[in-house]
Amino acid sequence: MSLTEILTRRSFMDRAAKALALAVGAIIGVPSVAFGVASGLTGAVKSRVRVASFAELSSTPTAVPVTFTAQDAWRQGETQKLLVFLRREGNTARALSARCTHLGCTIHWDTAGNHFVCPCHGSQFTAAGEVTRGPANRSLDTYPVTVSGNDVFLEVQP
Amino acid sequence: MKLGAWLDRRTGLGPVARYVRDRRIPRGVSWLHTLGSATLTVFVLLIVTGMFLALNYSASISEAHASTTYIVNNIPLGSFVLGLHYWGASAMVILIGAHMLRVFFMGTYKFPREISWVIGVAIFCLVMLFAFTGYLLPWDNTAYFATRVGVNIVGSTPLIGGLIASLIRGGQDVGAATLTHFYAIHVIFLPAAVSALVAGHLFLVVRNGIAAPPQRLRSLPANQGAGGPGAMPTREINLEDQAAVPGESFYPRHVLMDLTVAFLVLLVLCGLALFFAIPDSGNANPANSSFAPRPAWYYLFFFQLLRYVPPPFEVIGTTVLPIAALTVFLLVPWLDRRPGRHPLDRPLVTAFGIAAVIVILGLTAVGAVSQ
Repeated sequence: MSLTEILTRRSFMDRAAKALALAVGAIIGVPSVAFGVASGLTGAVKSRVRVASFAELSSTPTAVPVTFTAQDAWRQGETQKLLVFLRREGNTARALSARCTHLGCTIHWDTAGNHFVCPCHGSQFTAAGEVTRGPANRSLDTYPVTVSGNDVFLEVQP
Repeated sequence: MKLGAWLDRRTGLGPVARYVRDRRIPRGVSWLHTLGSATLTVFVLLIVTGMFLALNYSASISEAHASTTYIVNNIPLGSFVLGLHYWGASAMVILIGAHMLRVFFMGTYKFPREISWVIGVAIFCLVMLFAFTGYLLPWDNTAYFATRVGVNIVGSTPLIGGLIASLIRGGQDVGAATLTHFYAIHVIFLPAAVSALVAGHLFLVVRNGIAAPPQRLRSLPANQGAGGPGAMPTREINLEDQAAVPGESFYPRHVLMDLTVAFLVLLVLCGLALFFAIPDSGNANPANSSFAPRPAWYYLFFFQLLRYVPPPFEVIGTTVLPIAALTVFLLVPWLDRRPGRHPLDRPLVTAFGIAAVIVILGLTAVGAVSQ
């Protein structure tokens, strides 16, 4: 075996060893670290709750009280109550939080003005939740909605 | 390398690393010599996956099972990481067993490696304890009832058995304190102890070198013994025959072999974790009277053995035999003191080893079939 051959063989093994070391390290480390990060982002578990029948909804927001059992990670928690405004938008629906984005007072629907009004500081929002008057400076929070047949489901979390 | 030089000037570790990397290993060191590093790789995998699993595990009897289910069902990669840990535990038992068999049949526990053997046996025992304590943590019915039986076996030891069983359980029956005991032992005591022992084991591997594959005594030149030309080889021959055998440096060829095996083992574990669900027999219900507990496969031989022991002699199976076997195992380097390392140069020891393997595999097979 010539010196060049030995050097080539050695440098091949050197590179292969480094690549394998990287692969072994990745298999050991990556899933675990990703799992650890994901667990930090999982936290409270979302519950899927049926909240209304789709046929009953109209483009005018309707206040719907929602009751669900909150789950804190693996612990079944207390029953929680929540007020949302539901509104039909074409083939789907929108669920708006009833909390004003200013300081959290419960808003109500003003039929005459065709908008939401906050009783605390007078913020106003459109039927779709967009802010039209301060002091609130952002739109109402929404909940993910799925419509399945005639059932409207909400994803809620404590 | 600049970083290497920078570190070396501050730590002086450069020569140590070079010594470990460039040390000579004897010719003929084969794939069988990669089992130790494969075991170490799986140990590291278990430590890393275990640390992250602990982020989401609750060691309380009302929540342990729910938190395990939560890891599997709710956290992305949860079933995969738990799967790696679960299957990794079995791989650990298999690899450490295979590694010890290699050492046993090559007679490498002889001078100067007796301490390596003793540390290895200690690590093996602690790995079995790791497996036993980890088995309970998911708190499903299998875990609960198998642990109750396992601790009762310890409890059948005359005089002190009851006390030891209570200490292990933290009470009179498997319950809340047992789970916290097992959890603390599994994640604090054992990792600390095994890590220290592994460090000692590795130090000795480097200090004493890797033993050359055994050769028949009669094929060795007679003057290799300490007694000069023509003298019978002595026990110290092992160190000398190694020095006499020309070899190559540890890096890169053997490191590459070690890494190849480690990588393949990890690939198999990934496959198992991806495609095989972890068994779950439901939240432990102590009132469940119909549940027939089964031990993990690596305790099956012992479980099966106890079936053959008539009740009046139960203590022989539960206590005398395990302690005797362990003592013999531990004292192997001092029971087999003759110079030869080749299996054919020590037929009695080899036959004994093969018989032990056949008995353990046989009992495991019978236990598995009779399920």
